[in-house]
Amino acid sequence: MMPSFIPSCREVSSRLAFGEFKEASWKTKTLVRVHLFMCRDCRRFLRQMRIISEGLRETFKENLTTDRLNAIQSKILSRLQK
Amino acid sequence: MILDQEIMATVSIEKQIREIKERRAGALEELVKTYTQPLIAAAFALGFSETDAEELAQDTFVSFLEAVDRFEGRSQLKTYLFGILYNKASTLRQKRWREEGTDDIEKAFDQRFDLDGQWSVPPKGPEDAALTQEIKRMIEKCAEGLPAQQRAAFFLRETEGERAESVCNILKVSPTHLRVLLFRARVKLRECLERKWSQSQ
Repeated sequence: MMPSFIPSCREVSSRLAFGEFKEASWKTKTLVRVHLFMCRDCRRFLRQMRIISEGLRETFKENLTTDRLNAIQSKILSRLQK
Repeated sequence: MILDQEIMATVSIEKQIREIKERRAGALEELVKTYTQPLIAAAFALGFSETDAEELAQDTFVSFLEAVDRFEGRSQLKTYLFGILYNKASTLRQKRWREEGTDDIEKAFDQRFDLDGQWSVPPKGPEDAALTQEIKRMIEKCAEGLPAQQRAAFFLRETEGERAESVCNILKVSPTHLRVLLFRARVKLRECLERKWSQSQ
């Protein structure tokens, strides 16, 4: 059982999902870290938030081959220069 | 030192804009080379096909050039271009991507906790912090199911690293709404990943 001054699983995971950890106060950050240290489920939640961010970033970046991109750029450029 | 860099950056952007206004070939080429990829990525993030994405990127540049005299340099050039693209995308879709005030995902999130806020249905799914190809494909599939506005918010904030304030301007949402969009996107993706993971086990 967590001591009552430690934020609950619900509070910790919703902070992580809102992406509001970086901006949190020093005190909140420390309490969240203590919670994470003691709670395996929330650690899993945190790791999943991280791989989701990373996975989505990579997905969004790998969208065009260089050849295709170059072809599109030339097309756009010739339209703009008209 | 940082201030110097900022001043230099401002001077160079002013020079770039002036050259674009004069339609100098080199400046146009630089503009297209720098921003085509992020604009197409943004259109993909909004759920458009490659053909539509290409057209949107093209139209964005054309509109930008038509109205370049009105660009005051108060926002980053890229942020400004994203704004034009998002407007064009909304027209193309003939509907605003405004979402309902509530979303089932919030209920699903709440139901995972008991009254004390402890997990009653703890998260399952990948435990390892490493992003394997298999997990990446699952996330990719899950992302396809997200509403366009949530994907756009995620793309602008996390992939492009736009400031929250800029994302709000581009998507025309309040800071509170942006928080909600990102929360819903992350929770939905996690739920979806957990489902796909357990099916694959």
